[in-house]
Amino acid sequence: MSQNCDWKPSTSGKPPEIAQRLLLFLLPDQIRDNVTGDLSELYSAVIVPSCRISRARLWYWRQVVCSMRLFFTFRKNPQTALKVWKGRIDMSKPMRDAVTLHPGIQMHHIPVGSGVAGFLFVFATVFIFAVGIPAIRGLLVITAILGILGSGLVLYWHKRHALKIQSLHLDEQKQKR
Amino acid sequence: MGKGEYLGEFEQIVLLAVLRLGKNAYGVTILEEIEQRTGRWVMIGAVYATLDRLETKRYISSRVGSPTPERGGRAKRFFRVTAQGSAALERSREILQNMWAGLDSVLEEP
Repeated sequence: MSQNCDWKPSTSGKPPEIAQRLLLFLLPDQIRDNVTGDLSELYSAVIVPSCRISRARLWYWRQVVCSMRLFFTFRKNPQTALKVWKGRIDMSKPMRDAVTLHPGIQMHHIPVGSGVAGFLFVFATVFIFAVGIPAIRGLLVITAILGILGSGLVLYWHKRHALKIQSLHLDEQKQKR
Repeated sequence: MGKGEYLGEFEQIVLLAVLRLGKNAYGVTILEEIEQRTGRWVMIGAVYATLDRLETKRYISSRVGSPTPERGGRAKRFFRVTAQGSAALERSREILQNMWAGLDSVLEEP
């Protein structure tokens, strides 16, 4: 495979764990073993020996992201899609087609129990994927730290301000007496 | 020929790759064959989506092989082109040949 990588042998032939787990979670049962097996074979036998490990990992992640659509487009037969979906979420309500609920979302072949379940699934998928990227993970940590510091600062100022108002009221009451 | 019977460009490429590989047509070899012949690097997701579509149209059939240790104990899925698939490829070739016929002189013009 002619990948534009610097040649540097690597000893790690194991694909990124989070990416692999995401793939196993997302892929339909019928092709889960085949796709993950093909990717593992390509990764360890072709990509890793010809790339830097960071490039090889990026390649694997790209493949996983592009394979995600298999979950949404695999089999137009609703029964098969239903089987796939049932493996993910316990459906107690009657099935309704996502198209009627979310015309803008590309989930035309996946019947879902409710719009909320569909939204949560998409949100969770994006979140799991995003957490796997070190840059986004770093950004999330920085955002959390800034959030905690910011809210702490607001609480401190509020408390101080409230105490001031309280003491002013008390002074007024004392003067009236 | 109905709209659904016509093969898209990538469908033709995948079908031809499977045809070329014969008994050894599975995900990895199909990807390598496409890359070697076309110079295009394709995503495995795109290949499997196309293979699934072709299987739904009954242009290819598949069988699951035995698990192998180099694939982490996961099985290969081998594909082969059916008679319907060969006929569809032949039709597509005829259509393209008809469309290309007589255009050599037009293309040669500056």
